[in-house]
Amino acid sequence: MIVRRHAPFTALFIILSILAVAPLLAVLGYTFFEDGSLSFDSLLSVLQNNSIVKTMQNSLLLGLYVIALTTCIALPLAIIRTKTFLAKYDWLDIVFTIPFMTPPYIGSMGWILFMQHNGYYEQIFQSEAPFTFFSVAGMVFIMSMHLYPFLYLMLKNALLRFDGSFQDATLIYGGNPIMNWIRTIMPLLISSYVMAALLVFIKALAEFGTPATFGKRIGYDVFTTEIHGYLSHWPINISAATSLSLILLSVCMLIWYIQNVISRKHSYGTLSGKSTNANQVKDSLVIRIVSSGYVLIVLGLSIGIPYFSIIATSLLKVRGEALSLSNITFSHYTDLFTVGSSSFLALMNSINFAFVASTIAAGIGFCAALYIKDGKRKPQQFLDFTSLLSNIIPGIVFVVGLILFWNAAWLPTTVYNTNWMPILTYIVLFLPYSVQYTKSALSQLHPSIHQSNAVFAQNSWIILLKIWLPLLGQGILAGWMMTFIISMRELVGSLLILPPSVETSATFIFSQFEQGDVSKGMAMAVITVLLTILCIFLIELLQRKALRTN
Amino acid sequence: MKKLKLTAMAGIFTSALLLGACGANNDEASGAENNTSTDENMITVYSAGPGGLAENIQEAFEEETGIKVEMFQSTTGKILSRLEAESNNPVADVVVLASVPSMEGLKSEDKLQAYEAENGESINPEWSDSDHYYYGYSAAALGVTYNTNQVDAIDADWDDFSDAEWKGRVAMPDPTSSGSAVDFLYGLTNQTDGGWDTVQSWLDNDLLIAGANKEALNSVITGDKDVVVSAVDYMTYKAKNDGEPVDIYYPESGTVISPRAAGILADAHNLEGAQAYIDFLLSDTAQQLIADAYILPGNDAIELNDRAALSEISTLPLDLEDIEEKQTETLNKFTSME
Amino acid sequence: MKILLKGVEKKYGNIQAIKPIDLTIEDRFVTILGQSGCGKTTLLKMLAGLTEPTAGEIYFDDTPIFSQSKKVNVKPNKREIAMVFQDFGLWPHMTVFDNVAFGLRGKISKSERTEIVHDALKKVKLEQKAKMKPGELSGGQQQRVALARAIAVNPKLILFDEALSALDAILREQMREEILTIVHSIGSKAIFVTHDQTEAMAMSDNMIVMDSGEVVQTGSPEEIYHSPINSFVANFIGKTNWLEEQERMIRPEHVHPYPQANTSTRSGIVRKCMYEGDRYLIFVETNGHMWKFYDHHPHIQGEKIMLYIEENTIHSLQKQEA
Repeated sequence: MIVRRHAPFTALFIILSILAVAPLLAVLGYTFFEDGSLSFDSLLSVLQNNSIVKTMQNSLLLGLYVIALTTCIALPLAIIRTKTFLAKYDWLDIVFTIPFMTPPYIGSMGWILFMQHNGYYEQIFQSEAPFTFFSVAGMVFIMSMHLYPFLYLMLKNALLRFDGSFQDATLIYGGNPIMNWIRTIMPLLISSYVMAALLVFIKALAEFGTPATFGKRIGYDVFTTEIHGYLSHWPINISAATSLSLILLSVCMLIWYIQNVISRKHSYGTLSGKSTNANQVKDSLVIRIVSSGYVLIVLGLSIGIPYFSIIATSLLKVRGEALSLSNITFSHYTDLFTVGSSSFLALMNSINFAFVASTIAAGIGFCAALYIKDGKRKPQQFLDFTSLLSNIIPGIVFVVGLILFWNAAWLPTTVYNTNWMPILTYIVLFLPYSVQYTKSALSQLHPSIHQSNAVFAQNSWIILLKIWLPLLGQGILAGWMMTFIISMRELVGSLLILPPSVETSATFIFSQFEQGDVSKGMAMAVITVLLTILCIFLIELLQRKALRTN
Repeated sequence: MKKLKLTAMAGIFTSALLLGACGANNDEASGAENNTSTDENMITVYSAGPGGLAENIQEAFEEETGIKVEMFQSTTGKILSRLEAESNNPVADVVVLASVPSMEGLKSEDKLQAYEAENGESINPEWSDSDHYYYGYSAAALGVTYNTNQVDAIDADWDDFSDAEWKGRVAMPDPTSSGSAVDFLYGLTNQTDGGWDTVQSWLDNDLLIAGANKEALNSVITGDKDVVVSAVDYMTYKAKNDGEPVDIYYPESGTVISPRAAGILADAHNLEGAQAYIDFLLSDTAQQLIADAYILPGNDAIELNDRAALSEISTLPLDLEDIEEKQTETLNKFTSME
Repeated sequence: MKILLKGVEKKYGNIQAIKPIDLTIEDRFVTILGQSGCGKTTLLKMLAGLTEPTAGEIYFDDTPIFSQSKKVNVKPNKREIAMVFQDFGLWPHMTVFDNVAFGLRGKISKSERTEIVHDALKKVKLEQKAKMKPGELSGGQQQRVALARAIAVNPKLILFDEALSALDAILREQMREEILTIVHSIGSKAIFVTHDQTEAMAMSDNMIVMDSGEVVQTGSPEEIYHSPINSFVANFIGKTNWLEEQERMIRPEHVHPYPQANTSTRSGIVRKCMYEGDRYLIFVETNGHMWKFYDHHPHIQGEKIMLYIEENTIHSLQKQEA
């Protein structure tokens, strides 16, 4: 009885422990145990290194700057998309996700190629840029252009929830609109904002692509590049890498804790019954022009310019010559699609790995979400926390741990050096997506659905087939697609854990930047992003269809 | 209760999915698993580039010997990291690195084994280990690459790049990412007086430290910078041959030759195969492939392809004694400079 | 069916949600009445098997369906019960027909299923809506579907969890009647959880009044109304006039503005007068207490008034407890 009651928990717990907890323990172990005895030497030596303070400062400052700039971009955008005539155009949201879906190292390359001396900017405007782009400000800008969609979507959803009686009450009791905003919407928005902003902060800390391309160039070292450096540049120092990982881990845990405290204090039930979207005020011409203009500028900066550079580079015959029709070729693309070529194999590998990883992650996420439910009991909370670990811990820490753990001498068998290794890594890194998507699908149902199931269904198969799959299918599928998309472009892990003779599209692109043909890399990037957009489009279609049938 | 059982059942459902996925992925997965087996007809090579050449050699080797090669291509640093991470269950048989100091490091940690290769005596002895733990089967010379659209003629020596004329126009590969750049710094500062002053004056002259070798070259190809110092020459020759507006020269005061070395790992599974691979690397066939890739072959009897011969380049001597330790010092000194 | 609870309790960590309860339920239609948070829904869920008691035993007709000591816990779907929820708990992706038929899946063949479902839908007057999805129906209709789903499985016991709270007043009254008729017609037993005392009194044969995790009083609605066991029950069920706070009380209908036999008198000042359609409810301040009584005429605020109290209807809580 007791055993059976704990069986699902135990099973999920074991799976998640092996996936997520073991690698973290491996990091701890490698740092603190030397020849079987406890030792703080490696951690101390890293802490005593002068550059660690600088690195930490760099990382934290970068995070703060990025929060500030993403807020400046995302808040007006969220307001425009909820309060003006642009609120109708839901397809805009798909467009806004494109920057977030663009692999950051590719976006950065796009900006570098655009802004550098003799770059596309100078070729187009025939003059030098009026400001120096290659500075910390430029880096913050590039990263914000990548991360703002995240903050925007969270803020927009928070704002949407204030419609209905909240808004009516504000209109009746409030004074002028600006004071209304400050007095009512702002405090209610705080918890959503803090949550989103801290996640942006963690994402900025964990970001590798931009610091590795743009940051290197301006000599701005952060945690991730340092860890990666210790792991991949001569002379190798793995214990320094694990020590740094631990510090980064602690910083992220601290931030996560702060976020929890703040959001617990300031969260209110903001779902108010009847929603009234009907009071759509007709916008004045000025508002129309300003809001459309703003959206266009943001899209131009976050999509237009980087993609212009990427596509232009992927088409260049001779990169030393200027952009002109005679200097354009499609040969890089035809190379990509030659069956059996290394690029084609890399693309196929990516699709394969991402497919398997997202399918398994969807399965685990589904079970975990069903078990976690509202997370009221201790074991539920525990599982919830473990399944979301990789949301708050930078990928590179996990990757280091995965390598160490799966190479442990006492393991009877290992997936290391097989294709299961990248798959496993993607599952660990992106499990939160499938858990979150299924959980949010689950939370939209009445709580009594669970009880209805328990009372009326004759067996569990019926519940699974007739209720959960049809009801949650939407969420599971959305989580699946999301995992698929991100796995397709995953770089940090792939660089370190792929078995011999195996490349993915991300490592292919990166190695083209490092050793090979940049144009070919860019062509691959364009293909990857096109696949991504296709996926997002499919998710959207499915959701539309689901809305219609409901 | 009901719900709990459901979760258990959903677990079964997942494992079913997983098994399905196994099936779908089976052929590849099993293919990869074979790496770890001690198959007679298979060796695993960890090779630090250059892309293209490594594959050509692999193909020619497989054709000649019938031994299949599993190749992990990466940078020297990542290969070292992988070897370290895998020390509990080693996978690789042969390691090919773009940096002799790293090879020395592996040798001093007893991770290599000696082998007297068939064509060993035809290879430049200066690049190889006298105890035959590794062979410098090829080398790159480090020169100055310039953008021919933006620089008409150039014969500046190393210290000339501290002149105001070159302010903000010079790039160099990052020594933390590029083994050859460390070789260069080591050669320049160890063998010439005032080498560090030269480096310092470059930094004062807004030198761009530009990632790995390829990234440094890219900055000149795209016209961002005008010259790269410590440029790996074969990359420039290749870009030039592809029509990019770049060329290379070697300063008169002498430059550094950065050998690539190959060795057999101490715990190689397939020793015979590994030895055959080393033999093949030193054979005329492979040496010719190397020369075709604009790289200096270890055997100087091989005909070169459109590039400067070793005898035409004035070189700084390369001292292999304690090189790992000395280069670490060099690197530390460089990274502490502003 | 007889339901027997022995020492059933529920703890969440250190918080005692339900104090040990010993109870026998034999009547056909029983309501559990209490304020929100008193534990009435928890008690219902323990009967349904949705929440596991921390200790104690539950028997349906002498069969143990839960026993902590004997390690018995029959699953909800094997307890031969049905349940109707406050928020209906209908599956939004299924048609009305499928929702009602769901509980029969795996038990009864498809053809028989159709018949039973149509029967059930007929009883709740929703045959026309069989092909619609719950989202397309009004609240009252959805609750009828939930009721149909409950009766379709031919349960021995139907549990109603605040089933009418989400409906508006008129619909609620209408549904009360319908539920009573249907429950009686299918010969099942019903336990109805509510916080609405009029609903509880109108519907039940027997009432269980709960307060902060404890059963305070059980009995027929009349018993409970006329002889509340303590001041909580007295105040919670019906309107109360206190002679002495917490000790002696009298219901407003036994207080009159005109002389009658066997009455004692006291004077007061009219404070408020509310029209209730069929009569007026008048608030009078007397001896420091606010009293209520009914009259067919309005009284002017501030008016001095003499009240006549039926002595024999005064209920003494002290006496009851002793």
